[in-house]
Amino acid sequence: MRLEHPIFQGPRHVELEFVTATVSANHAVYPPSIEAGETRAWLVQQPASTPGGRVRPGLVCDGYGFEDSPDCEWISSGSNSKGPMAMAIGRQANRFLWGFHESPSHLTQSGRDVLVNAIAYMDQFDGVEPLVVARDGRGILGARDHAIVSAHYLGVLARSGTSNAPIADRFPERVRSATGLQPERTLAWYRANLEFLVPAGPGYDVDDACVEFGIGNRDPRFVAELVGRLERDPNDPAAKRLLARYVPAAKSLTGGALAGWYDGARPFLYFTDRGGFEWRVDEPARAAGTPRARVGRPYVLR
Amino acid sequence: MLCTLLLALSIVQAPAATDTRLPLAVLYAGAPGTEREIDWLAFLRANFATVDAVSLRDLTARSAHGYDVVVADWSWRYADLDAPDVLDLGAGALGYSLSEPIPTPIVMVGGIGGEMDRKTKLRGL
Repeated sequence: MRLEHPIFQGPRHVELEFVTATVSANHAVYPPSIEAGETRAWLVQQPASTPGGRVRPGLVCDGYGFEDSPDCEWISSGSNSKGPMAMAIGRQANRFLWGFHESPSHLTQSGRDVLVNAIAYMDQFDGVEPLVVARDGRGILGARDHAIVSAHYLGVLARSGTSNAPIADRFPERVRSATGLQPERTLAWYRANLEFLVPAGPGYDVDDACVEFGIGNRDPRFVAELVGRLERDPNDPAAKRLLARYVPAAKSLTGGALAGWYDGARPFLYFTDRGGFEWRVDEPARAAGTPRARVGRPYVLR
Repeated sequence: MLCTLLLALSIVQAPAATDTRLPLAVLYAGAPGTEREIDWLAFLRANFATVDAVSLRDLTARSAHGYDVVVADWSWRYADLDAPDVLDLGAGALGYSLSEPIPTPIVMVGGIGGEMDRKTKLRGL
């Protein structure tokens, strides 16, 4: 939870009610892995006030890479079976997810207060459009974190004596060959190559051109090094291919135009797995002249 | 006369009831005629200055225009509490999606959020 987020600060005063909650065993599979056990949790819904004394489940969405574009805020997970990053409260542009299903009279007082604050908080995002959306009928991509999740899942299957056949197609041939889909080896392979991953036919694989370049594709130095290399040799074929693949906004630029573009875009560049494993410019922020403010540092699996 | 005067004085001196509602116009887009809608409207009207209601099926950029925030909500969508992945395609069926951009900020509640918004990162798991 990001307790420092404005929705916990006001305008309604909030006093969170904490209870002891059980962490699902599934959470060990999902990074950052949390072992099953008991933890302190904010009570949002009142089971006792609901029909049958049970809370009806709401919804979480994929929290991995959620904050890889500056229009997004991951605020809180919730009790769920899909891991500690699965997001129950968060915002993308002018859309806010309040993932809890129960209606206000079945919420705790703090649940109602935070909900009022969330509605009030959203007032400032009138007309703000999402930066990352599904294109061409495709869904939004999953972040590279899912490679680690799949490797963890191999371990779950192995420990239960279950065949890994049902998930073998999550791994490209190179990974299957290099690791034999042994859980520990697969996990180590993905951890070693995490910064060079791209979506493959199945799952995630290493971009060899990126490895040769020597800088991870989402590394903040990536674009600067690429632009520098093309300044030194505008016809460098490898650098041109990397520019076209990872920096589509600048793919047709060369020489002084490329350097000028980079100078203007640099404060507004972001890398998004979810939007296509590419660097983009936050154009609305650039037009406004100021990078968007963030609450807290985005979670990035390293 | 004295009684009248004292009464008038007490009215003048009585502290004015404080309106703690926030000065926002909120459109509740939910399932019309349900207890859930009644519950939500009571909550919103206790907390915000202007609150109106519309069916979620009628939520468009046009119907949301003029409001500060939309709350998008719907009834429970699943057949069984023990099988929450099974959609009840009877009374709970919705078939609504954000097919057009709505500039007004939207708070999407529960399962309907991931259903109505399939194109952003808020799509449900």
